[in-house]
Amino acid sequence: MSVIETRDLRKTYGRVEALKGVSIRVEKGQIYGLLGQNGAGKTTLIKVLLGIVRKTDGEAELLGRPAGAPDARRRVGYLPEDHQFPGYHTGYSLMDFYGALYGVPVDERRRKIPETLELVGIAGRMNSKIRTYSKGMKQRLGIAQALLHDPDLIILDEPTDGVDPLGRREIRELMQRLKERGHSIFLNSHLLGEVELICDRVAILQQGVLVREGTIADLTQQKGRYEIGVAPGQAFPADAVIKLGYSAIPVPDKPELFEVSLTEGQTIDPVIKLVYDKGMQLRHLVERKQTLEDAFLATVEGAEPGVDTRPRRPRAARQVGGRDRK
Amino acid sequence: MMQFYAILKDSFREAIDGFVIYLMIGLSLLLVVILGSISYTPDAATDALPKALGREFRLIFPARGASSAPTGMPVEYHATEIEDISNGAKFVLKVGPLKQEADLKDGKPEPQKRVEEKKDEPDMFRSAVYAWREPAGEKIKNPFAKMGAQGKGGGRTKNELEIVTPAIGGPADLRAITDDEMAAFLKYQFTTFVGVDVVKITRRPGIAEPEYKFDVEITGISGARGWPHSVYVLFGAVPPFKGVPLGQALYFIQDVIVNGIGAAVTLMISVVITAFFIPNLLRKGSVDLLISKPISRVGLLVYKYIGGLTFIFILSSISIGGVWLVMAARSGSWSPGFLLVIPVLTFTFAILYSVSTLVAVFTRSAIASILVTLGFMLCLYIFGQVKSFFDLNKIAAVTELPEWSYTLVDSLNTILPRYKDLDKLTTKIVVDNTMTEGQARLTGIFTEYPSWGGAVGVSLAFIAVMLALSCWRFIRRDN
Ligand SMILES: Nc1ncnc2c1ncn2[C@@H]1O[C@H](COP(=O)(O)OP(=O)(O)O)[C@@H](O)[C@H]1O
Ligand SMILES: [Mg+2]
Repeated sequence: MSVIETRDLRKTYGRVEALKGVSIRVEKGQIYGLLGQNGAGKTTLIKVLLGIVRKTDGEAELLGRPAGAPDARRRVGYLPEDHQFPGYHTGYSLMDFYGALYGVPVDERRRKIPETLELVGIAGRMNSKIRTYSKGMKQRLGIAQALLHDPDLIILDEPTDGVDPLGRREIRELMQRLKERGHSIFLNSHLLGEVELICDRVAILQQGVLVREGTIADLTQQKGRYEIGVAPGQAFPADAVIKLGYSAIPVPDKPELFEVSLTEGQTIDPVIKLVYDKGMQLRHLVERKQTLEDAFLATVEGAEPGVDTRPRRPRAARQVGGRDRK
Repeated sequence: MMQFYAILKDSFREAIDGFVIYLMIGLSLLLVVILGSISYTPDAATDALPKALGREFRLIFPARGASSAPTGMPVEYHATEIEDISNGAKFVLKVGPLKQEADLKDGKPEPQKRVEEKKDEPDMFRSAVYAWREPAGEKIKNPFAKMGAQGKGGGRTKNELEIVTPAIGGPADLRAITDDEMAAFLKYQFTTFVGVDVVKITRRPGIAEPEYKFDVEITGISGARGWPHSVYVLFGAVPPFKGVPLGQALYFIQDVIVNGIGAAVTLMISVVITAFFIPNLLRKGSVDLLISKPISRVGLLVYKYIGGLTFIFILSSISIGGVWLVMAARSGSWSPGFLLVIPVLTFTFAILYSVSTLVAVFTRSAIASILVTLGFMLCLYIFGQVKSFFDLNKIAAVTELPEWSYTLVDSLNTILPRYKDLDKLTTKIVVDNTMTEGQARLTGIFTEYPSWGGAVGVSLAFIAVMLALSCWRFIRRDN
């Protein structure tokens, strides 16, 4: 069963088209990552799923129910981006408040709140006012409140935002553990390295359009690309290599290196042989392993920056003024 | 239910987060202490009785008090041979016809008096007892209207000023009045206008009519609402106010100071503090999380609204409850009616807060909410004053006003929440709980008391409309 499914989902805010027909499907038990630049529409997708904003067109289902249905929301934990918890709460009382909104019984809250806060590592400060928390602690609290009611699906919008590297690793481990316990996780991020480490599947959103989707392996699949360099003073025989049926292009910024790509069935050996035959010395040979970042950059290369650059109110004004974009 | 309780608790946390609430509670407690410092000592009967027997004591509510409209008889009451006993007094009450014609007192008319002055004067005291015992005679509506401008407003209100003519007894009827009936009448006058109990009252034989003498013993003067008291403020640090009927002192404190100034200040400060609740709720970063919870937006907003009301409820419970407690302990008058001010004040605030909520949902600005709400409060207040004037004008025809102005005022009154009405109703509660029965009735004649149903109903409808608009906007918004 899929926990999230959208078909040709569209959302426009006034004149801004934030989602232009997005279809994704997230299976139960997965950690699914949604990638994209700022303004790509990732947060909008989540908000549509949770009924925070209304979709303009298309279909969106959450846990088999239409997006926004209260009974589906009950089984979802959500960490919003840029969240601001009321400062008058303590970590404990906030969890208690949210737990009650989810209908978690009193005894269970009493038992689970310290447990959950322990899990995210802020149990020691749970009786201090939130306004005394650091950004990282607030983020951990945010994750904790999304876990308290033992949801089937956990939706995290930029979960590692504002957390130090060590904390990030802890959060990644936490997600892994949650997955093992059978929770499905859907996360938004622009931190590709991170996503690569934990996600089973990813989708890349670009200006409201889904441009790639698949497992990490699918996206980072090797096509066989090598960086080759010969000894200084010698010129790499690019033309001869091309004649052999390879592509050879200079690596940008490193004029002494060439990138040689193989096609189906080819190996790099004939190229090495050619170099030796020409009496040159091979000094550099590296197989270029594609990271998710490469894959991502390859996808978005040449594309305009995110929709985010369209003229609108400066971002800071939204946060400080406490008012929304409209 | 769990969600409702959770949001109430959350609002409560929010309310007690700032220092302002503690400041408010501190001020309330200070008020309680100051009012608690006031003591009320009944004046000695020698000083008090002449005052208590003047003025209203002469008025008569016919049909043994069943008629709410008063009438009067020119009878004079004097106390002599006054003897103070513990919590009471013994004295001889001299009754006789009023010597010289008193003019209109305080603008209160006793137009019948002149009618009664005939050559062969009947016995005034017996006539008074007769008028008290029998049902009232003819009703005179709006006596002022007849004297002044012919009130255009006449006949538009159900509560017209009404004075009745006394039932006139023939010589035989007056003769037939027994001593027991006279005693019963005087007893009634003492309870109604002085608020004391008559333990013993016997007519002295051998006094030539139309003069009468009664041996009277009264009790229960401490706490008697019509009995003049000395009022000591600040534990007696300043010289006392002497000779104030207890009821009037209590009325002044409860209605003018607590229910008037105190309530207005409380309302305004509460408007300011609670104005932040909903904008905070709607703040970006906070609202998304809340509406992702399995709670409807309407529920969220309405619960939060009610949460704002708990704020003033707590505050007024502390202050009104405290004031009531200390004043009751000090004055010995324990009638609980004053406590009704708590729900009424909360309800009044509910009206204001619905406006604040609406503005908050549309603008998400606490400042805008505060300004609009305080402005609205001021408008309601001004309108309330205008309405009162129009109402009085209907009764007393002070000045002539064009017909359309009545229509305008009446139609505005139909749609606006009854802020002033609620105030009048609490005033009525206070009057009924502080003043003697007689005085309370007299006050009632000059004030057109609104109905609870109308005041609460129209205000509730107004609140419902405000909340419905707020919810509509909140549901429609795309965060
Ligand atoms: N409430 C809103 N009103 C108008 N435009 C919005 C609103 N929310 C988001 N947008 C626009 O929609 C686009 C997608 O935004 P968002 O979903 O927040 O992107 P991401 O989360 O990927 O950074 C952006 O261009 C953003 O400016
Ligand atoms: Mg985002």
